[in-house]
Amino acid sequence: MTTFQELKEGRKYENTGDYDRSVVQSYHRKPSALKHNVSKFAADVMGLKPIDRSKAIFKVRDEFRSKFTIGYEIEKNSFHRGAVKEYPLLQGFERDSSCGYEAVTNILPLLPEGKWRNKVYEMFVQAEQIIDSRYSPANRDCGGHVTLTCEGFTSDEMRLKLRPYAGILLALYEKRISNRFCGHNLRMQPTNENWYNGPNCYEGQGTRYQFALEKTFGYGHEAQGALEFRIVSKFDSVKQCFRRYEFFYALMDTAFNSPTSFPAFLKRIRPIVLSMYANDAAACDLRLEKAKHYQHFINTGKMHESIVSVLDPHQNHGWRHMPF
Amino acid sequence: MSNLMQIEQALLNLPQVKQGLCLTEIRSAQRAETNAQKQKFTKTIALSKLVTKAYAWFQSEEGKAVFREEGVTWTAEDFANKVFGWQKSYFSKMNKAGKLPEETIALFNAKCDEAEAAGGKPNRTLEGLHKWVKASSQGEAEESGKGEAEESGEGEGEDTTAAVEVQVPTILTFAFKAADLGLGKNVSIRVQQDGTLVSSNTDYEINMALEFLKAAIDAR
Repeated sequence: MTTFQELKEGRKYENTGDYDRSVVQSYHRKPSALKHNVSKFAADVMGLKPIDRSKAIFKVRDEFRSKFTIGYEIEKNSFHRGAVKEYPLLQGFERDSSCGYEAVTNILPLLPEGKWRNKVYEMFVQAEQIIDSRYSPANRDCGGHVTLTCEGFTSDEMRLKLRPYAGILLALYEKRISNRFCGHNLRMQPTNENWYNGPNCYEGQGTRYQFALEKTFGYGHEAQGALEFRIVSKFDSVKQCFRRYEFFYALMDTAFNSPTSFPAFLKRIRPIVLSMYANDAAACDLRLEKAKHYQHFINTGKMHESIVSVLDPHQNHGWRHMPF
Repeated sequence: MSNLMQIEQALLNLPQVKQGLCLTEIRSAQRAETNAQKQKFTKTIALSKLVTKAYAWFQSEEGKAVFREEGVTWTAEDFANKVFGWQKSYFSKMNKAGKLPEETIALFNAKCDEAEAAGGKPNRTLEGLHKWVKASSQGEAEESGKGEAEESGEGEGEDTTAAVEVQVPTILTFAFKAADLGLGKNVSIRVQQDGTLVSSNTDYEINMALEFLKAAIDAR
């Protein structure tokens, strides 16, 4: 029975008591993700500006759902002693051959600022000993894959919507471009289902180790398209989780609700990127300038001189080929 | 006390009466109670200044930047509840009080002192302050309206502030559940010490209630 407290304060994110969420499982054996993007309580959406509510929330029967969702894969070399336990944030833990271990979040609502988002951020804070590298270290082998969904869109439709703005991700995570686990299909071309032998596999489309991998969750009419940005670097702090969350909301909101020019999009996200770079305006603006070149590369395949050395195939593993 | 006859005042001044009735201690305790209320109000006003200052920072660019950086979003209601533990309405009253000029507070306190000296019990509270400020500003508005129609130069020094709300003791209450008998609206009457009758009922309803009372007395 719903209590007055729940009506007043909205959804509470709590542990389930499921033992499997509190231990490290072998690869791909962790429990299924919980849907944290759903709330029965109006209290969670009250306080949102009407325009934000219309863009970010929709109702199914008596439930409020976020239009966008986000999931983080937090790769680490090891977890802090005693930190491996159930958290409302996390789906579970598993071993990962590329780096050691990973903690994967449940399906989180991707929202503008407000009461509901405060609760999501609170979950990050509660899991600090897993996220923060001071407790759970991560080296260059570790990444921070981010998976996004938009209600009603297939993965291919998401790819088309996000492609006009994805250059910023190449700029922000430039050092990861040469990583073999995420540096393929940098131009976000259509995915070839024939993973290993298709005619386009020379572009890296025939591999799961892509910059932005198309995925599908569920089956039949419940299938939900998703896009996994594998290029995102490792998670080092809780605040970094906040800034990335804000960045990806801005990206999704622009791509799906308010498409605009790439320069206008860069103007919108500049405050977030500036915060990511600890208010170093020069570093921030350098990334934004590079983002323009990377976006041009995505759109046309042409490389500006400032990014050739990064994209030059001779600096990468020999089996990956890139047309100029 | 202003409600004493001369003979009564003389009686209360007799040493054995003063001692027997503990008048000195009573007066002292009453003064202490009044002073405690004054002190409480003074502290409330001091707190209201802090409330205003805190809320101003919360709304400033610096405050917003800090909240943004830390990933927390608060409405005004959240601010009131999470910083002070207050409902939004009380917070609004405090914030409003904190913005009042010192002169306004001083004048209100002076009015309350006057009322106390006259034997009344002024409403020296946050609520009383806001009521007085509102009434005073309405009085000033009326006065300034009059002044525009009159010759200028007159009316200087006139006190356009309202009187403070003074709690007057009630000496008679009367309640009649007329609705239960199907006789119309319930009747509620209060007569204050100064003879003022306070009721939201009409004269007809009050007279009907009194007739019912008389009939009940006659039937005894």
